[in-house]
Amino acid sequence: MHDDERVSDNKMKTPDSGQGIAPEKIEVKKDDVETLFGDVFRAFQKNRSALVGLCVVLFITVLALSAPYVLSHDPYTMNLDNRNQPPSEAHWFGTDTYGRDLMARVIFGARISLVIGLIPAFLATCIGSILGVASGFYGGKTDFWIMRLADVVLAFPSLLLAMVIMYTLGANLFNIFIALSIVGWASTSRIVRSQTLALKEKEFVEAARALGVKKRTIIFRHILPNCLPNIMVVFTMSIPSAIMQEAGLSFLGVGAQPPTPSWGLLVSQGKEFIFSAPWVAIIPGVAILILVLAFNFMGDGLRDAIDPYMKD
Amino acid sequence: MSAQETILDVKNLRTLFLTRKGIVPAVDGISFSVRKGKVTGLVGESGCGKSVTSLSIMGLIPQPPGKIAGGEILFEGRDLSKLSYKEMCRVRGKDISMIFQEPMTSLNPVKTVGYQVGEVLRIHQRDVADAEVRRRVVEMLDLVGIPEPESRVRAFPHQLSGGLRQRVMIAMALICDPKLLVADEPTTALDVTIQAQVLKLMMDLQRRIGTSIILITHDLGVVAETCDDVNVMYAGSIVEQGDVFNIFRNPSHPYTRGLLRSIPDTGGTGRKERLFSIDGMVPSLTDLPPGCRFAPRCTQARESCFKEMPELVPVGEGHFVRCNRAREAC
Amino acid sequence: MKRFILKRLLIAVPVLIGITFVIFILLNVVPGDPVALMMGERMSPEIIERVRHQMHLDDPWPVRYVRFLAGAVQGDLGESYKLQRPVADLIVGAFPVTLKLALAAALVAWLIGIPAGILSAVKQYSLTDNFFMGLALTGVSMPVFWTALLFQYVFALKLGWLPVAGFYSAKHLIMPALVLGWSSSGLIARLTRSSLLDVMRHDYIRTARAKGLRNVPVILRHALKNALLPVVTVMALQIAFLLSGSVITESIFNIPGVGRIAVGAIQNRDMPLLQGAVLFTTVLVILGNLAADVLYGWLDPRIRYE
Ligand SMILES: Nc1ncnc2c1ncn2[C@@H]1O[C@H](COP(=O)(O)OP(=O)(O)OP(=O)(O)O)[C@@H](O)[C@H]1O
Ligand code: SF4
Ligand SMILES: [Mg+2]
Repeated sequence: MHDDERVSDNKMKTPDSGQGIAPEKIEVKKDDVETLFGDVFRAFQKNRSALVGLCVVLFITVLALSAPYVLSHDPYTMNLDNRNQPPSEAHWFGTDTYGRDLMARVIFGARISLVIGLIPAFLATCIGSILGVASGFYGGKTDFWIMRLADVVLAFPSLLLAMVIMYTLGANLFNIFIALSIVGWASTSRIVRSQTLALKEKEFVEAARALGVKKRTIIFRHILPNCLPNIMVVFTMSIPSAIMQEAGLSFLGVGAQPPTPSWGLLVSQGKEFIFSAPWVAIIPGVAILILVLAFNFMGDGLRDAIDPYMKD
Repeated sequence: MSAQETILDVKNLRTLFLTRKGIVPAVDGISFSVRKGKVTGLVGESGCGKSVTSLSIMGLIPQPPGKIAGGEILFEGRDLSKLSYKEMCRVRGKDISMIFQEPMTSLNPVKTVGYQVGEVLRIHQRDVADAEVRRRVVEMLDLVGIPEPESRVRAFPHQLSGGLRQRVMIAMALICDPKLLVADEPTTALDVTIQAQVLKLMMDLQRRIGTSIILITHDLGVVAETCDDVNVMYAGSIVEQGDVFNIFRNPSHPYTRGLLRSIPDTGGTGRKERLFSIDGMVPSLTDLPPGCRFAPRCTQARESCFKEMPELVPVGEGHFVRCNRAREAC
Repeated sequence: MKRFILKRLLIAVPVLIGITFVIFILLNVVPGDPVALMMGERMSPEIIERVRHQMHLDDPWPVRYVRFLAGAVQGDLGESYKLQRPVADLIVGAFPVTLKLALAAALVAWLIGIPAGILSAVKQYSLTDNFFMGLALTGVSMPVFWTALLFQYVFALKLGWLPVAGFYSAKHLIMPALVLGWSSSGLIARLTRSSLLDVMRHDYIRTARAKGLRNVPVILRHALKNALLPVVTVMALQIAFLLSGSVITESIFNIPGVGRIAVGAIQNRDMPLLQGAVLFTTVLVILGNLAADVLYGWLDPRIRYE
C-alpha cells in the first residue's frame, strides 16, 4: 500500500517535473550539438581568438588614453631637419615627411580610430535597431517605407555614398560620424526587423498583445531585450567596418584633415614616399590592420557564442 | 529467435552522442537479428533511438557528435562497424539501402529525379552505358508506380508530391537489388491515403525481390500487417522482442501492452498522428533512472524496479522481455 | 521564372528612383555656389545671377529634380564644370577600364576564395580550416589602399616584376586586380565555407552517402551547386564592394576609370561630374544585383520551373 502510493505519486510528478531535457527538445537543438571534446576545444579556441582580440583592443585603448602622459614626443611638432627618418632609438617608428615622430602620431591616431569606430557604429546600430523594430512590429506602411529606404541606402556602394555625404557636409571628423551613421544603419535594421518578425509570433508576445499591453511597452519590454544579443553582435561587427571606412575616406582626402593624425591620412601622406621611406605609409596601415582584425575576432567570437549557426 | 538463416545480426550495439549536455546513449546495447527474406519491425515512441539504430547500421551516424561505442553489426558475417570507409561505400546502396523518414527533404533539389535514381547504378556498376541506366531508371520508376516515368525522369523533386517522392526514394533504394532494405518510417510523413499505398507497394516489391527489410515505425497497426518479427524499443534499449504472434497475442512488457491499448479500434492503419497515450514522458537520455527505464511511467512498478535494471529474459519460444515482473501472471 | 524576373524588376524601379533622389538632394543642397566656384570669386553678383538663371539653377528644386531625371533617362548628365565636357561622355569613356579591373578582380577573388572556402568546410575545425579562416579574416581586415602600397613596394620596387602604376598594358592590370581581388576573397571564402557547411547538414546529403557515394563526389556533385547558390547572390554584393574598392584602387594605381573620375570630381568640386559618376556606379550595382538574382533563379530549378 505504502509502496503503491509512492509510485503513483511519482507517476503524477513525472510529466511536468521534466527538469531533464525531453528528447524532442534535444532534437530541436540537434544542429548545434558538437562533440564534447571538439566543443570544449572549439569554445576555448574561439574564445581564445576573441579573447586575444579583446586584449589587443584594450591594450590599444589604454595606450591611446595614456598617450599624452607616456610619449616623449609630440605628434604635431615638426622638425624639418629630421624628415622621413627610418626607425631609430629616438623614433621607434621613424619620422614622417615633416619630421614628426611617427609613433606619437600613430598612437594619437588610435584615439581617432577608436572614437570613429565606436560612435558611428553606435549611432548606426541605434538608428538601425529602432527602425528595424518599428518596421517589423508595426508592419504595413511603416514597414514598407523603412525597408524601401534601407534598400536605397544599401544599393549604394557604401564608400561612394559616404564620399558624397562628406562632399556635401564638408570634410571634418564630426561629419564622418554623420556620414558613417547614415551609411551603416540599413543593414542593422534588416537584421533587427527579421528578428522582430520572428519574435512577434512567439507566445509571450502574443499573450502580451492579447492582454492589451501597450505596443510601446511590448517593444521595450519584450522585443528589444530579446533582440539585444544580436544587436550586440551587429554593433561589434560594425565597429571595424566604420574604422575601415573612415580610413578610406581620410585616405581619399574627404575624411579627417591634416594635421589630424588619422591613420588613413597618415598612410595617404606616406604614399608619396613609399619607395624612399616605406615605413611612413606601412606602419599606420599595420595599425589599422591590427585594430580592425582584433575587432573582427571579437565580433566572430561573440557571434559564435550567441548563435553558433547564425549565417554570415 | 529461431535458428533460421539470418542476414543481419546486431549484437550489443551502443551508439552515443557526445553533446554539451552530456553523453546521450541514444542506442544502449541493443541486439536483434533480421531473418533472410523477412520483415523485422522496430517500434517505439519518438526519440527512442530507432533512426539512430538504422543510421548505425548504414554507417551514417554523423561523427563528430555521434560515435559507435561498442557492439557488432554482422551483415552476412562481416562486421560493418569494422569495415573501412571504402568498403562501407561499396556496401551502402548496393547490399544495404535505406529509405528515410523525410521524403520532402531527402532528395537533392537541384538534380533531376532520373539522375538521382540512376546515380546509384553508376556508383555500383561502373561500366553501364547511359542508355542502359536510363532504361533501368524508367523501368524502376514504372515499377514503383510513378505515372509517365519517361517524362518524370527529367522532373525535379519539387515538382513531385510527397508520395511520389517517397516512391522515387524506394526506386532509388531498390534499383541495385539490395539484400537488406532499411525503411525508416517510410510513410509517417505522407498523407493518410498515400500511406497505405506506399506500404503496399513496398510489401509487393519485397515479395517479388525477396529483400529482407527492417521496418521502422511507431504504428503498431503497420507492424501487425507487415512484420514477421518485432522489436519494441524504449529509451535506447529493446524491451520486448519476438515474432509478431508473440507480441500481439501475448504482449509481456507493460510498455508493449500500453502501446497495444493505445491503438484505436479502427484497425490501426491510416492515421497520421502519434498514437501513444501512455502517461508521462520519455526520460531524458542524459539523465536516465537507475532502474528500469520505464519505471516512472509503469503502472506495475514495484520499489525494486527503481533500483535494478531488468535483463532481457526469455518468456517463451523466441520471445524476450526486459521486465522484472515478466514471469508473473498479470 | 518570368514572374520572378518581373518581380525583381518591380523592386528595382523604386530603388532606382530612390537613389536618383538621394543623389540629387545630397549634391544640390551643397552649400557654396557652383557658379561662383566655376567663374571665380571676383565675378560681379549680377553676372553670376544671370548665369545661374541661364543654367536654370534658380528654379525650385522639384523642377530641377524632374529635369535631372529626364536628362539622366536620355543619357544627359550635364556638363563637367572643370573639364567643360558632357559628363556622360567622360563616364562612358572611362567605364571599360573600370569594368576590366572589376572583372579581373572578381576572377581573382573567386579563384582564391572558393577553393579556400571549400577546403575549410571539408576539413572543418582542422588546422587547414583555422589557417584559411584566419587568413580570410586578415584579408577582410586589410585596408585596400594599404595592400596596394604594400604590393607596389614588394612587386614593383623590390622584385621589379610589375609596373608601379598607370594603365597601358595587360601587365598594368595584374597588380590592381590582385589587390582588389584579394580584399574580397576573404569574404567569398568565409561565405563559401559557411554555405557549404550548411548544405552538408541537409537530408539529401545523407541520401547521397546512403547510395554509397564517397566524400569528394558527394561534395562536388551534391553539395557544391547548392552551396554556391547563395554565393552567387553575394556576387552582387561583391560588385558593389569591388566598385567601392576600385575608387581607391584606381586612384592609387592611377587608372583612368570611373572611380578616379569620382575622386577627381570631389577634389575639383565638380558637382555634375561627381553626380554622374555616383549615379552611374550605383545604377550599375543595381543592375548587377538584378543580374545575380536572375542567375540565381536560373540556376535553381525550384525557381526556374515556377
Ligand atoms: N545528431 C545527434 N546529436 C545528439 N543527439 C542525437 C542526434 N541524433 C539523435 N540524437 C538523440 O538520439 C535519440 C534517438 O533519436 P532517434 O532519431 O533515433 O529517434 P527515433 O526513434 O527515430 O524517433 P522518431 O520517431 O522521432 O524518428 C534522441 O533522443 C535524440 O536526442
Ligand atoms: S521492470 Fe518494473 S517498472 Fe519496468 S516495466 Fe517491468 S514492472 Fe514496469
Ligand atoms: Mg526517426
